Amino acid sequence: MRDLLLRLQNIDRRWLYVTLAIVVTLCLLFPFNLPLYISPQVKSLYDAVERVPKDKIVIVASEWDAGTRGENLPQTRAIMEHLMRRGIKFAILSQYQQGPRLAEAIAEELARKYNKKYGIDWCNWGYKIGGGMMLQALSRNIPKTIEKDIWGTPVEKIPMMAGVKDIRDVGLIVVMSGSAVIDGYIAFIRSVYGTPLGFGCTAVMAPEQYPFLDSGQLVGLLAGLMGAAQYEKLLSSPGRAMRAMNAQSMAHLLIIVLIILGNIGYAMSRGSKR
Amino acid sequence: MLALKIIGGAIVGGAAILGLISLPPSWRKWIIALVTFIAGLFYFLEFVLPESFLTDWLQPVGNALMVISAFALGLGMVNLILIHARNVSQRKPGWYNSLSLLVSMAAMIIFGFWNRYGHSHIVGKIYDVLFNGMLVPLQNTMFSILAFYIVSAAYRAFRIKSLEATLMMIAAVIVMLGQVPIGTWLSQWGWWPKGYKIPEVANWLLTVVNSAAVRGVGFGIAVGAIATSLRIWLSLERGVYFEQIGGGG
Amino acid sequence: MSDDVTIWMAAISTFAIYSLLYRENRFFRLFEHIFVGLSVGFIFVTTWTDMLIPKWWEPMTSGKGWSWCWIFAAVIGTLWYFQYSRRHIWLSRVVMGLMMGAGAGMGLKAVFTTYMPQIQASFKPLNSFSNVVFVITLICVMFYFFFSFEQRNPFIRGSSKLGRYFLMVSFGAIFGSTVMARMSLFIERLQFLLTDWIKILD
Repeated sequence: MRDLLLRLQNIDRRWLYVTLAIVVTLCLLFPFNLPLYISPQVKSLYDAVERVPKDKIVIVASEWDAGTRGENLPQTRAIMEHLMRRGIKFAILSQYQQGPRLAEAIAEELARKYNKKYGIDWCNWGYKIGGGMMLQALSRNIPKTIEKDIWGTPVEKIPMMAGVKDIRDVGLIVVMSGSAVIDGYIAFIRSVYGTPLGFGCTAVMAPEQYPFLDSGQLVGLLAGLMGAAQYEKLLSSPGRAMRAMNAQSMAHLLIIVLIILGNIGYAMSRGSKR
Repeated sequence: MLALKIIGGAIVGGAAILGLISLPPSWRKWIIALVTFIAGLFYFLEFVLPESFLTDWLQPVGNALMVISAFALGLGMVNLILIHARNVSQRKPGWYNSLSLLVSMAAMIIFGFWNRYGHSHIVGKIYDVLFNGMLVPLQNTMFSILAFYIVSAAYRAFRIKSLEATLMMIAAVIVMLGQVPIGTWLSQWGWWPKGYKIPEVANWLLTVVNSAAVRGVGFGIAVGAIATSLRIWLSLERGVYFEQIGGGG
Repeated sequence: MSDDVTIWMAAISTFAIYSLLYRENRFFRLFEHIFVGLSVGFIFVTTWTDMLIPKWWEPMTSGKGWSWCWIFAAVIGTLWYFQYSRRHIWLSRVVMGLMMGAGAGMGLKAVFTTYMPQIQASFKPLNSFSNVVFVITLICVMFYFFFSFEQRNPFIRGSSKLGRYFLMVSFGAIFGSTVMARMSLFIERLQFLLTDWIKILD
């Protein structure tokens, strides 16, 4: 056993890659039921969406691209499904070039399921550059900042945008992102105008957002794929996020086992050198 | 008439640039500092004088700055084209990779515009292949490769050699188990103390200890951000960009 | 298996990148370059169609009032490209200064609007274990970052050391979350291959 562990210290890393691939593939092919814990942060965001008044719109800020699609896509899908179910109109916005198109594909898929129409139930403001400058301009005058939607239609001609002038007509902003764009929304919209703000982030960013949850600057948080899975459970609409949780669990266990094995082997190799 | 106004404006703008070029080198640093200061002054005054006449200008100024920053879109592209076109023309090693880069860039631009403004099913399909069939999966897969590197790092590099590393690992294990259903399953049995289930402990670690620690770090960042913002706004910064302006640089 | 050419291209692209895990190879390099080309081309197209045309070209050519003045935005925008002129590179710094100045002004506002509520929220009533741990952690972590004077006082040194331990717990939480993030991206790729390409999963 000792010799085996010592030899495993120098194992080719490609065997570790194969192990990960096999573990995850088997979990996806042979699913099993594990209980899902709903965190208070996810429930809080769910409740915030439930509280949005029907006469206000929601901004779904799809601030992500293909690099973080694995986590942000299920989050965006879950939020959009909730909004469509409640009949809340929403607008897609992004400071990432790919964001609006990736989010539009999700909205169109859900629209077929819930019989929703573009321009009436949702619209897509497209890609808008500018960070804090854009957000401050948006807060003061939405039609003049957006001008046209992703298809080139003037905002004034989109039925759901009738009466939407500035940030006071927005009931909630949910940002999905793998980067620090949320800082701009917190600094220039939430803290100035008080518009409720939720965040669906990649898991790697989640620990940094808890101070904002604590201070109330964020009303809720979806942390990675797990956050999306929890939201799907609250919606009773199992999707790819929930189905991925088994594989996620086993991958985490694999990492923990490898850390332990690696350290045991390391301790033994130090002992044998002495 | 409109075209004349636009062309006239372009000529006036071009003349202004020529005028700038003809200025003495000693003036350059002051012009840059003045532009930087005025740009920052607008947003700073808007902050300290809320709901003043400046607030009404937020939207048009923001629009103008958004358009100006959008014009930088060609910077990266020009650089890439220069480098890779040179590789192809001089047949440097790997020149076919450079050729594929230029061809794919051209293809995306052509079919991107054609799909946007045209109405062709075939063009739409080609664009779909380029975007959903290549760009998105390529980017997605590049980021997902990190999963394998984390596995390798966890086995080979994560060594518990000190109290700090031990604390870090214990916290990591609790959070890793608490964030996935396996943690809930492990702590659902009757003998596990109520209120101390793994997901609840992980959540407590994140919302109390981690939150406080990150906030402490954030306060330090905030102080640094104020200092840096002031230094940039008042052109007090030193460095490659800020120094080499007056001379030939 | 899927018969959609888009799905097949996506699968080929996926395997091209994963081939790097075996070893460095030409297949990976080729697709890496294709990715860069597609990415830059896409950025160019979307910046034109989503930003410059609706927010600059169409207002400028609308003929309304002073809208023709938008040409000056283009003139200022061309200053970016003086980066490629060794003699006149300083002109590009005018427009960079404009952006950085605006960013710095906004940054000052952002620091106050972001962190004032945080400071307020830090004054917690010490009536629960969690609140006590929170306040102690925050103070100790802030002590750790006092680098501008030598920490001789035993209380400050001890608090600083405790702050370091709390930071380690935080980094462990961040590491755990990072593992989850990376695994999620790989699981999504595998779900695509099994569901959309080979079609053995629902």
